[in-house]
Order: sequence, then structure tokens, then C-alpha cells
Amino acid sequence: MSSINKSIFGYQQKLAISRLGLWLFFASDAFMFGGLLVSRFYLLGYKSFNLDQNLGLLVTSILLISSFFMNRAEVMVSQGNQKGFITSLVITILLGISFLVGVVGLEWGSAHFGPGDGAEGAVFYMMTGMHAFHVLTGIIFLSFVLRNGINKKYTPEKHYAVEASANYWHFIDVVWIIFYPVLYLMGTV
Amino acid sequence: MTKLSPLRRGIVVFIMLAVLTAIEYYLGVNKVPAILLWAVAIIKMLLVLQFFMHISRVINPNNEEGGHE
Repeated sequence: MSSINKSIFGYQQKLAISRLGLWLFFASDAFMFGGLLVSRFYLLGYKSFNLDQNLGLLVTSILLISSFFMNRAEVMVSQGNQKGFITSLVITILLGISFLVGVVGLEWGSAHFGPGDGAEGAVFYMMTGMHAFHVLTGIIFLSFVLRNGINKKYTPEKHYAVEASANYWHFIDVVWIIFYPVLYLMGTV
Repeated sequence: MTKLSPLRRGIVVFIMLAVLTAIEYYLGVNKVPAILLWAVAIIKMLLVLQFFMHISRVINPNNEEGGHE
């Protein structure tokens, strides 16, 4: 086996292990979000939070669009399109910030209860707060990837950091896909 | 879906997610049984897991379609 083949084989091995590690992290994080989801129904039953439906749809759409651009960034880097990669990543970060402003800045401000107002407040602020914290860490993660991308540290062959950050961002989206109907659409007043 | 280029596949998945979100919103504001909302949410989740997160790469590491070497 030539040294080049050995190097490729080594990288493939590392890639497989890194992917498995990342997915194990997603599984452990999913248990935490799953616990919050169960607590919502255990403590509140089928009671609705009575939130602003338009704002809920808006922030959900923003996160969905950001996931699309994150996927686009990953595809662009794998095709060697540096400009498209940077542009898509910047759009993803800006949409992530918009989502945070929508949930923490607007939704928290307009909710008719506070974090200390019984089980309703505790569950709502914990679910949205933990998710917003993940969005924040995702934005920080993406900012590092953006800096490295501007410094041309990724190639179409080697860009695992982009893939990992994209998967993390999509995981945040998956959590919100479940949280959105549970927080906004399900239940009766 | 696998025959599409990765960029086009992303667009198709995004359109499907957008349509499902619109359906979900309509069902939610019309107070339909929660099982329907769960069904839509699970379909959306599976789409993201399969086409954006490439879960098959972890299940089958030899399947590198759309990924990097």
C-alpha cells in the first residue's frame, strides 16, 4: 500500500470515528430535549401556551431557511465553490441570529407569563431557553468555521469541520421541528 | 431523489419542508387531533435526518454519496 493510500485510509477511519462520536453526542443531547418534552406533557397535560402563532411560524420559517443555506454551504465546499460556501454560511449565521432575536427578544417579551409563573413558565422558558442556547453555540461554531473558510482551510476532499457544524445546525433544526408544534400548535386554552 | 444533484436535492427537500410546515400550521390553528401534528413533525424530522444530516453515512460508512472523501 502506498503512503498516499495509507493516508487516505487513515483519514477515512478518522472520519468514520468522528461521525460516530458526533452522532453519539446528538443521541445524548436528544435525551435532554426528550426530558423537557415529556415534562411539558407531564406538568401541563394538554394545556396550550397560547402564544403568538404568527411569531411562531416566522421563527420556524427562519430556522428552516437557515438549514437550507447550511446544506447549501456544505454542498458548495464539497464542490470547491469557495465564494458560494462563504455566502451561504454568512446567510446561515444571520438567520440564526434572527431566530434568536425572534425567540429570546420578541417571544419572551410578548409571552403572558414569566419564568417564575408556575409549571407553565418553567417548562416554556426551559424548552425555548435550552434550544436558544444550542442555537447560540451553533452560531459560535459556525463563526469559527467561517473564519477558517475565509482563510481557505477547507478543501473539497477535507472539510469535516463544515460537515460537523452543518450536522449540529440541522440537529438544532430537528429539535425545533418537534418543539414548534408542541409549544405553539398543540393543546387547548 | 438520490439521482438529483446535491444542490437540487437540497432545494427539493426545502420545498417539501416548507409545504409540510404550512400544512402543520393550518392543522394547528384549526385544532385538529394532535396525532396529525405529530405525523407531520416526524416526516419533517426524517427528511432532515436523511437528506441534510446524512444519517446513512453513519449507519453505512461505505455510502459516501454526496459527501467528501
